[in-house]
Amino acid sequence: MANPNAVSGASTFKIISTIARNTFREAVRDRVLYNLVIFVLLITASAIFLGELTAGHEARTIVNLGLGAMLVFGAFISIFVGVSLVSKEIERRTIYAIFSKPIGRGEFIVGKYLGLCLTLLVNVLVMGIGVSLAILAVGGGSLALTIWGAIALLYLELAILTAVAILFSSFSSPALSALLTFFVFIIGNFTQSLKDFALTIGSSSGKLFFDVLYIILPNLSFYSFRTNAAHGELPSAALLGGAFLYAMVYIGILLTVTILIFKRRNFK
Amino acid sequence: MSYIIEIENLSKDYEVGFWKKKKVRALDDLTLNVEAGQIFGFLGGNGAGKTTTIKILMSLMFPTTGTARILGSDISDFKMHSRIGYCPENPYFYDYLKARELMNYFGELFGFDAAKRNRKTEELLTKVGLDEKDWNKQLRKFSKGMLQRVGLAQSLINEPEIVFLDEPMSGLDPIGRREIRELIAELREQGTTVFMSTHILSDIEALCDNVAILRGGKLAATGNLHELLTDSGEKQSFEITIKGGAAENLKDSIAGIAGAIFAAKPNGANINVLDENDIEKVLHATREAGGSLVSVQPVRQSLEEFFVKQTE
Amino acid sequence: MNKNFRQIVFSIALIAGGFALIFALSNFLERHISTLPKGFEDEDLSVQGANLKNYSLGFEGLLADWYWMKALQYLGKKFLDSKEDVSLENLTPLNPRLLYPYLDNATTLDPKFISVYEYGAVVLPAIDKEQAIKLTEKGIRDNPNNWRLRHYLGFIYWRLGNYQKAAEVYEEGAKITGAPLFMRQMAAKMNSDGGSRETARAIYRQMFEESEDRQTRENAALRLLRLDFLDEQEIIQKSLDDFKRKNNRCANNWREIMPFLQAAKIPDAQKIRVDNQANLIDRSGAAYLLNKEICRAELDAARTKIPLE
Ligand SMILES: Nc1ncnc2c1ncn2[C@@H]1O[C@H](COP(=O)(O)OP(=O)(O)OP(=O)(O)O)[C@@H](O)[C@H]1O
Ligand SMILES: [Mg+2]
Repeated sequence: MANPNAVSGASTFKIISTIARNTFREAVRDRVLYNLVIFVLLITASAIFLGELTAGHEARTIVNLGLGAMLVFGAFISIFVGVSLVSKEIERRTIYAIFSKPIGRGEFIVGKYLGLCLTLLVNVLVMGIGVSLAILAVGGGSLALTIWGAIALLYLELAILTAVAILFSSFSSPALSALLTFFVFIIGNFTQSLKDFALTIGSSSGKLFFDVLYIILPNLSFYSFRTNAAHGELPSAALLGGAFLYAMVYIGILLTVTILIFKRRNFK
Repeated sequence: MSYIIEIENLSKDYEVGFWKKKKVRALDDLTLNVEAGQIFGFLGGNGAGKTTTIKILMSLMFPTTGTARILGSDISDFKMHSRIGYCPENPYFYDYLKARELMNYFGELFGFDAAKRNRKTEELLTKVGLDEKDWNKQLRKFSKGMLQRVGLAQSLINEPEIVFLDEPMSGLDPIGRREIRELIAELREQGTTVFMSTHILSDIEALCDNVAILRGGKLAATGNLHELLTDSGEKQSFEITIKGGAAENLKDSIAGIAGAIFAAKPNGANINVLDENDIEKVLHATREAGGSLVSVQPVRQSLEEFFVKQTE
Repeated sequence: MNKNFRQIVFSIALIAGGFALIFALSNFLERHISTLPKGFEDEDLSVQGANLKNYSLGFEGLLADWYWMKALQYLGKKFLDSKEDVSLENLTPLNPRLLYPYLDNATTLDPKFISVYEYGAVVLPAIDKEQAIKLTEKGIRDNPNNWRLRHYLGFIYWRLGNYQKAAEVYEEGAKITGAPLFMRQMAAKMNSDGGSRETARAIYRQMFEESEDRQTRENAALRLLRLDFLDEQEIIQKSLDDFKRKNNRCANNWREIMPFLQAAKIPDAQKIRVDNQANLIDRSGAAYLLNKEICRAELDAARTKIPLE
């Protein structure tokens, strides 16, 4: 035989990081980061023009507008890149060469997911710096620093959303997955109302239904701290820590389900 | 003798239709063993189930029933993939990568260090005949044949013990085909087992030791290529080539010989006879018609005929 | 198959455990989430914007900004469009009926948007005192620990001449930790002489120095100018009266009363500015007019920047 001492292959960690880095490279080459240009233009323009409109409250409005735009841009990437992350590989059959190598399907999913998270991280960092600079430019002072608490929460929200997108895309078409992910994004921001609604329902089975829904759907309202950030508030350590743990556990669940489904898929 | 690929009662149903799923049997109870160190030809008409089989072996799909083992491991054990290679049919890779980057990426997935990745990349891209100026070109700008070459190169990056090639010659120009044929022969020399599906019978004849022929998802024939062709019960025939002479007269006189086939050629003719004793009769008639003999050749049944018979 | 089964069981156990953790974390986070204060659910949110509150995907801050800008532009446009001169003390001729709903929406969406309350406290009394009080009281309900809002409410009552109520409000505000000494002083002043110019000056000076809102500062600056003008007018009046007593007629021009002003019998008289044509100049740089009929110094409405009332 050619090589009796067979190659043992790379470690799981190495494989995941290699796939993640390649996913990031794909995003860069597919010009996903171009949105940053639009974002920077938006922030610069608002820094220049808002002064006229807000009578000396530019900094506050830049925080609201900037962090809001960050969420919109980020969610856009999470949803649209997220749902095509795996389905594009199946559709273009690039996955054939991957899985004929010693790579587990779980490693592939986690690598792809982390790759997109890395892309989002770069995006959010650059956008955040843009907002901070704009705040400094209009004399917003310490707001330039305190918004980073809200940005950290915003990033966790995007990480959850990406996991939702990848889960849906593991069993449905990209278009449907995008739609479903978008719904989860919307409902996820209202789950608090969902729970309050459950309290007003008389029947206990109806209440149970909403309670279960509340647990299953991600409660994204934990992560919207943007309006508070505009007042220079910082999230408490309890909120940050709890939200971080919540995100990790929730993402862990979603990825487990995704891998479970993905392991059973035929690539026809 | 232990086998390097063992396929047992493998079947695969595809589900088609959107709402009411209908099952279509693409592979039906395939049992097949392949020994190490040879080039194994996997033949069959379009839709016979070759790609289906290979994809099941690569664990890209799961069989409906049956099992298979490669190098003694069940096909579901992906760690075994570190010892095999695969070039898909009409391969397609990340089109945002350059050929070099793709090879490098795959090398990294095998855990090779940078030096080894570089060495293997250059060695293999040269071997598959990819022009050096294309190494740093994005794959989205590659032609079908260029992609095919990259596909072959990546399947060999880990110096596999077995390499599965699904129609490795498709899309290649004549020179490319010869280069790849040489490459495959070289692989056998090094002890690598090659399992290849192809439609190009001349390649099979030139390369393969053993073959299997699929028909409608079922195994139609398998065994040593030479034995299959000679043992098939068909009688040998002889081809006589002549030049000059009055073809019309000759045709008439040949018509009297049982089983003889006449084919006119510009300034001559080809005549096929089944019986050795008929050769003399043909030569006689030729001389009478004023022509002269060019050659007499015994002909074996061709793979093409065999293939057509098996797949019809 | 067996391996497959084990894998599924393991995964399901993992997922179930995960959701148990999610449940615990949800309850934890609900206690630590920074909810915006309650207490406005029962309000009549007649202008639709505020209904968005629970459905704005965390964008309520941005929506509040939008209403705030809308309010500023709305009033600004009314000013520009109006033909007649409108006094800051009475904006009703502009009929800015949407101003209150805009400000109300902004503060419902973002109850901590203090600048809006401040703006409301300064502007709304000139339109509708009920609305001014209502908005500020809403702000106090949602930000009970903010002394500034008491200051705004006290200011509103003071402007309405309700010194007793103003004193109560300042008194309450002074008790809030972090409230400046100014609050206590105001509480005292309101009781003793709420209507005095000194009280007014203290209030507007505080606004001028402390407010984060540019318009409020500008407005306070104008009010301070007017207070200075009232002082100056009294001083000039004294000289005019002195002149009349001596000459039995009103002065013909400022030059004639110059000796009286310089007599220094009148405190602060030297503070009044005089230009090289011996005109008396007001604090905004425009010359005072002399109304001989009633023998009185008046502002030149066409030139001065000081509010006429
Ligand atoms: N994704 C699929 N869905 C449904 N049926 C399929 C699918 N892929 C292949 N088939 C069917 O399975 C059968 C075998 O197909 P397969 O691709 O294995 O043939 P093949 O031998 O590789 O043919 P070719 O020489 O054309 O590549 C065909 O009848 C085909 O129609
Ligand atoms: Mg095929």
